[in-house]
Amino acid sequence: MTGPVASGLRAAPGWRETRRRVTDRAFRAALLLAFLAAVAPLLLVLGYTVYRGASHLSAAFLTHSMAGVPPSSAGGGIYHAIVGTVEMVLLSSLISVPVGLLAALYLTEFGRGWLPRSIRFFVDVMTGIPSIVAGLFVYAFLVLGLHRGYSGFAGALALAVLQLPVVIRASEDMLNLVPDALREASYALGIPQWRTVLSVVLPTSAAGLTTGVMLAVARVTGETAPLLLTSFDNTFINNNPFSGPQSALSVFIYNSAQQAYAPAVDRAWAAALTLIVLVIALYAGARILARRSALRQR
Amino acid sequence: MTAEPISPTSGALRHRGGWWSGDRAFRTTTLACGGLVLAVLAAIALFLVVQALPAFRADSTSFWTTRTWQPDATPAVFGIAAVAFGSLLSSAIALLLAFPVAVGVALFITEMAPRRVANLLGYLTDALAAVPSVVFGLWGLYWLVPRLTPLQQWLADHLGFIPLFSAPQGVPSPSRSIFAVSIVLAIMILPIIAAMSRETIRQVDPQIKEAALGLGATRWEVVRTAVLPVSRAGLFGAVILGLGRALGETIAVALVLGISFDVNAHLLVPGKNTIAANIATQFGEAGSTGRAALIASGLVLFAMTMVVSLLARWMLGREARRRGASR
Amino acid sequence: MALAGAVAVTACGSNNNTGNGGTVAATGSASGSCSAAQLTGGGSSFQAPMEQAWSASFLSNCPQVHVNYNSVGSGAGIQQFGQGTVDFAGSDVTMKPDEQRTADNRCGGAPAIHLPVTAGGVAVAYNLPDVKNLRLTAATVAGIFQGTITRWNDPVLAADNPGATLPNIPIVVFHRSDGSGTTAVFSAYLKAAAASSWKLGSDKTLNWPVGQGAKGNEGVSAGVNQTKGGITYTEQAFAEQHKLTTALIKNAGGSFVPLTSANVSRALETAQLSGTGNDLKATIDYKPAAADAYPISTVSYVIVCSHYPSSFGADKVAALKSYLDYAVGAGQQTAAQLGFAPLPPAMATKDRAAIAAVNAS
Repeated sequence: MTGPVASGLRAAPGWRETRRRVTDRAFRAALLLAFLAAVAPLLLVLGYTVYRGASHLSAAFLTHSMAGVPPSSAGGGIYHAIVGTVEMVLLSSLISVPVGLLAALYLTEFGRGWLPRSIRFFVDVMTGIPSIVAGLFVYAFLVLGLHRGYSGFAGALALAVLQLPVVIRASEDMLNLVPDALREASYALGIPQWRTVLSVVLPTSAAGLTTGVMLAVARVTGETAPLLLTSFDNTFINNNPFSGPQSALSVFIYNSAQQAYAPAVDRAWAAALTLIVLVIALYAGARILARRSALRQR
Repeated sequence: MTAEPISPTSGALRHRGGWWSGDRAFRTTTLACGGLVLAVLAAIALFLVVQALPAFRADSTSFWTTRTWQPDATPAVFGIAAVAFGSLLSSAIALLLAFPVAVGVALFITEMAPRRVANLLGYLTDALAAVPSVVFGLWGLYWLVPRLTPLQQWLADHLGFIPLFSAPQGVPSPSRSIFAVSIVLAIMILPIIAAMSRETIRQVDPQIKEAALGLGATRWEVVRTAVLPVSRAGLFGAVILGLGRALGETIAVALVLGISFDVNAHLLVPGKNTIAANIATQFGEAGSTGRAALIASGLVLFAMTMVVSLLARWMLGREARRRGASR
Repeated sequence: MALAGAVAVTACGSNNNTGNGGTVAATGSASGSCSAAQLTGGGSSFQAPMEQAWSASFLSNCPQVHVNYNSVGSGAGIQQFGQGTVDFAGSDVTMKPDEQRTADNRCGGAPAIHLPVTAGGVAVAYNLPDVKNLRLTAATVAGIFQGTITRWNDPVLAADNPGATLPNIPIVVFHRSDGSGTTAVFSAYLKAAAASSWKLGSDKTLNWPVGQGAKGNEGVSAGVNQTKGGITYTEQAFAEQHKLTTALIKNAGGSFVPLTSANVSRALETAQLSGTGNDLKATIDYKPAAADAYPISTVSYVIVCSHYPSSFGADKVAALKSYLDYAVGAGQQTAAQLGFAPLPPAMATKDRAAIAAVNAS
């Protein structure tokens, strides 16, 4: 009997054993390094954003719009942009997540044939879509074609187009990780497919699906180009996403950061910090929800 | 709910007999969504092709080999050689940098970190995805590039014999190069790949890992033999999402890169361009031919994503996609 | 939970910025209707700060008129005006014939007209800490940006700058990577003033033989700020914000002129207004002879319909007219402090007449 197992049984470590140990140590060190390499940029970017933006945050800043404040003056706020981002991302996720999840279920539960293969193909292609293209499409069909004009809803549609491939891809992969044995056991008990999906497949993959949804949300909260064509921009508060142009934090940051006036740039960084905090809060909420539903199952 | 008799046929994976109305509704709904998605994506593809056609007609030189971008001039001279090359180059380097780190982070969180800390660490890496691309662009431009320049100069001085790292006219200070852009892109796609990898690795059957451990394998050997091989499909999906993001990133590249329409392999000097950044920078002021040309370049970007995805799927498809059953 | 949060969020914001940076007093009173209207305009980023300043201060005159201007770029602005999705467009250059046709169609057959609304100069900004008043001629500028003059201590530069110590470092050129009206003006100046030494033509995007492309005035200014020996062309306000020194440019009269608001206005006095009737297209004279005329000066236009179809709404037309009348009238007083220049009075008068003539079915 030779080999690593045999040498592991001996008392004195041979060269093979030492090599294995060294490789293992190197591996662990590499993992730690990788983790630090991932956390460092986060701290650097966040730190820089805080450095440039934190001092310009205030209650007034968060509760006022830019109405009446020219870009060269200090003052004003991002309330109108916060409303726009929250409404648009909510709407777009309400559209893309159910449709995307159901489409992913179609791919995993009824996965053979030309239709699923075409869907997978197009979804893969569309993961690389430059965001402005989604905006162009919605502009051509909704803003222009149907004469609906700029609106937050048009922006949400453009964002949904960007989110769909991410939701489908991530969900399909997560759903595929559920072992068939679980499904078979459920069918063996006579439970119909739809019930199996609801009670077995979805809860098992809940954590992964939540991650997929979060990735999709993160994909669009920072998007500018598609929104410029669909929701345009607004210096005033517009609470109605279905009528009239709406601002968004991403558009606000993009426009303000490239201005020639220091107060505008300061506002941009404060808005960037607000956006990051907002998205992280969304993440935290989603993870808590997912953990609670998973706990009920486990 | 009526009690259903357990019959042999109801244990089949695909229901041959007895369609419950619930199942029919389920199949119809999911089919409808799948069809809707296909319709929307196909409509977008068609829309783009129609919008791009005028550009092909107007181009007076070869679309594939010309480097410059002057679609609104008379005569119109433009081609995707430079921008397509830059897209491929920057995305490839970004993936090369991000993938090992992302998988490393995922392994660290699932295999090495204590359970309570693991969640927190997961949140940390996810937080990176919360940062909007314009912030990455501005941070890259103002903070990272000046600090990266000494490293780029060192690489050019000591590894300059490798064509990738050579700088015939020296490395300017600061150097807004593809190298810097790729690092920013890598940071941007890292959370996507890490999150997907983490979920995939977490779902690996613990019995296989314990079996390996029971045979005396070290952590590294467990990962190498039990975890990574079965995670291939999920990792591939993570790579595709990361690649898509890298190829389609507009603002960060447009802000950080010192743009020019060259094709060369010098990573450390400013220059080159990407398709997405070109679209972002040119779209606002483009005339009608210019817009058509930009959309045509977007189609080329799709083709690139398509080719990579098909290749990877073909390589993956040769092994069973999941343990448990083949579908 | 998310819906509740969204509802809560929509309940607690305010458009009232008096005391929070909002302009409290208008700089002059506007004439015309003040009925409620929402106007959208899009286009040139060059005039965007002025549009946003006007929209802010016009609120004091007419609190119910909400004007939203978005700098999507002149090309996109003209396209969206032609498609009817924006009410007026901002553009640094006049429309091409096919764009004019589309715009006229949008106006129901009536001509779409150009109205100059603001003016400004293009600065040549550089980063040489020890050289305060660099003097450049059109030929030297052309040489620098085409790569024929590569070092700062080139004899041609030294000849124009006898008192300055020009270091022996390379010139690092920054130009715009994005299409830009500023590039169009800069290259139009070089085409006119440097004649045969400038070979790149005049357009919003050029085929630059040297230099790095950077996005926006912000990008080129930041680039020069970070790079010793850098040089670029940019808007005056950006040069000031990034603390860049701007060069004195030699005009046709032989004087080296700095970029100031007054010098831009002086240069535009010799601009001719071509175009039929109320279409006020300006032909800029890039070779002004007056001693204090800054040659790289331009105007920026707003494009409107001379006659809007009835579907547009009479209220909106009235509001648009008030807004534009304010912009070219009392609104010109804020130009200098924002880095722009007021329109020459003769041009402004013609503007107001053209605006008054805009009507609706």
